[in-house]
Amino acid sequence: MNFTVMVWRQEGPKKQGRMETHKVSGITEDTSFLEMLDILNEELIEKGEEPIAFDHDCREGICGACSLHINGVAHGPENTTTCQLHMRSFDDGDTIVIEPFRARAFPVIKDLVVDRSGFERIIEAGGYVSVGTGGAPDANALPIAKDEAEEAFDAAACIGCGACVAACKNASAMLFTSAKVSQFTHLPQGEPERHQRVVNMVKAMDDAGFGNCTNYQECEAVCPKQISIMNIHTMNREYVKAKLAGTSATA
Amino acid sequence: MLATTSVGRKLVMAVTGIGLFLFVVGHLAGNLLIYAGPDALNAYALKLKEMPYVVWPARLVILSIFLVHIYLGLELYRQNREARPDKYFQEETLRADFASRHMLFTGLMILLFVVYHLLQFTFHAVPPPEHIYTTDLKGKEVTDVYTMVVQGFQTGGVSAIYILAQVFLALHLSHAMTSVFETFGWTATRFRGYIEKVGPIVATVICFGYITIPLAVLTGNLRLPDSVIEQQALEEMETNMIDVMPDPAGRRGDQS
Ligand code: HEM
Ligand code: FES
Repeated sequence: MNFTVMVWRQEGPKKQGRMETHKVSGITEDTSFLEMLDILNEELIEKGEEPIAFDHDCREGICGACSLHINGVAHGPENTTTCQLHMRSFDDGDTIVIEPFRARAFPVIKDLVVDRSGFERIIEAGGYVSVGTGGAPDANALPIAKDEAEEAFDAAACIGCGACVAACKNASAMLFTSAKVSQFTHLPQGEPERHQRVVNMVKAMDDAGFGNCTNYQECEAVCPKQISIMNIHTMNREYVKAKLAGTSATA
Repeated sequence: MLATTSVGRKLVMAVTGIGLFLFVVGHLAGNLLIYAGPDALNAYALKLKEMPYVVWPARLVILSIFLVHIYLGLELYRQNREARPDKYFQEETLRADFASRHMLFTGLMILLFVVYHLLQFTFHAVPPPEHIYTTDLKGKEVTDVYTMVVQGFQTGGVSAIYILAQVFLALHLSHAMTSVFETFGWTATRFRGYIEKVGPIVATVICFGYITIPLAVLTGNLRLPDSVIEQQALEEMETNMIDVMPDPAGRRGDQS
């Protein structure tokens, strides 16, 4: 397969970037999207040009490191992470537009690599639970209803890739933050910090410069882990409860 | 304050939005009295007028709610634009519907319409109607609201503005009345399908309710009262007579 690739090039943070066009040829349809970029990069290196910088780590769809906004959609045309996307999802001869995730809170570091540490600050603000030290508790000592366990587990599937922010027309991080709030809300372990957690995490989210949710649902549509917007509704409800209980942010 | 965080602002937006929605529903219920005849509508208008201690505080509350809602709407828009300073070269839309993407626009169109509506029917600053009639209601001389409305809508352009405004309101409500459930978290996975239909259904009902009135006037189903038609005929004759009658000095009209 042959493609024309239009890719965002930017030398460094706060530098002026531009779209650059390259031809890639002889790609098999089983090549993954990132392998296609690897092949292109090798050609660039052979020509003595600077290879295209992009994020990746596990290439198994579990770490959330890969990003990329492909043909106008976060993680491209399939509902997966970019590393799980293959060239068979495109047609021979296609022009493929590759951009970094765009948000004020995700500044570009180089080419397609963005700084997603805003997410770390949200987690630091409340994405943890207090546990008693000592021996491991007995299995089933803490009964949890199946429905609750399922919801907590679904929310916990979030890998923090940032596609929700990239897809949201407001660059809002509500899907991510709400998944992290919701996974604890459904579990007794999350009880002690329940009010403080949601208030602090929302504050960290705002401070990082993400936008507001206006219920577009674009986030849910691109999430490679199918995190539901119901988590956002859960978080809103938790936020109201925490505020009614007089909780204010401590961080 | 609550409105200093993203979630807090959306909550205030939703609370004020519900306040405005309740007004929209109440106003529609009042307006529909037009189908019960001139006396019913005029009596309702009179009753409101006779309770200034209720009506004025209510107006002030609605006005402040409206202003807060508009202010936050503009803020929300500004902040959301700032959250993505560098736009995408290519950006697709997968889910967000037309209504959800044009909330500020439809909102501002509603605002424009409200201003026009008040200038026309409350302050009588913008005709039609040129002339506000009074009528006799159980021995009392009262403003003839019924006639005012029918006269207003007999002009096609005016009706068109009202109908268009209701379409903007419907678009706004179709996203808003689903969105409020989500903003308050009054949802659960098993109700999701229903909640997503609430907005569009509510919007359609409200829009239809309001639009029937100009349509009923344009199609002749709501007519001016006979007494007003007679009065108008008389006035017309008088003006025509002034035109054709030679004045005492032997000159015609105002060609002085
Ligand atoms: C009769 C008048 C109006 C009614 C009944 C109304 C109702 C609502 C409601 C219920 C919401 C939903 C809040 C939420 O998302 O949870 C909303 C949102 C909104 N309204 Fe209004 N509104 C009205 C007028 C206006 C006006 C004049 C503006 C102009 C600035 C405006 C701008 C907005 C914006 C920007 C949003 C947020 C949109 C979003 O979240 O996507 N509205 N409105
Ligand atoms: S590289 Fe780990 S999820 Fe894609």
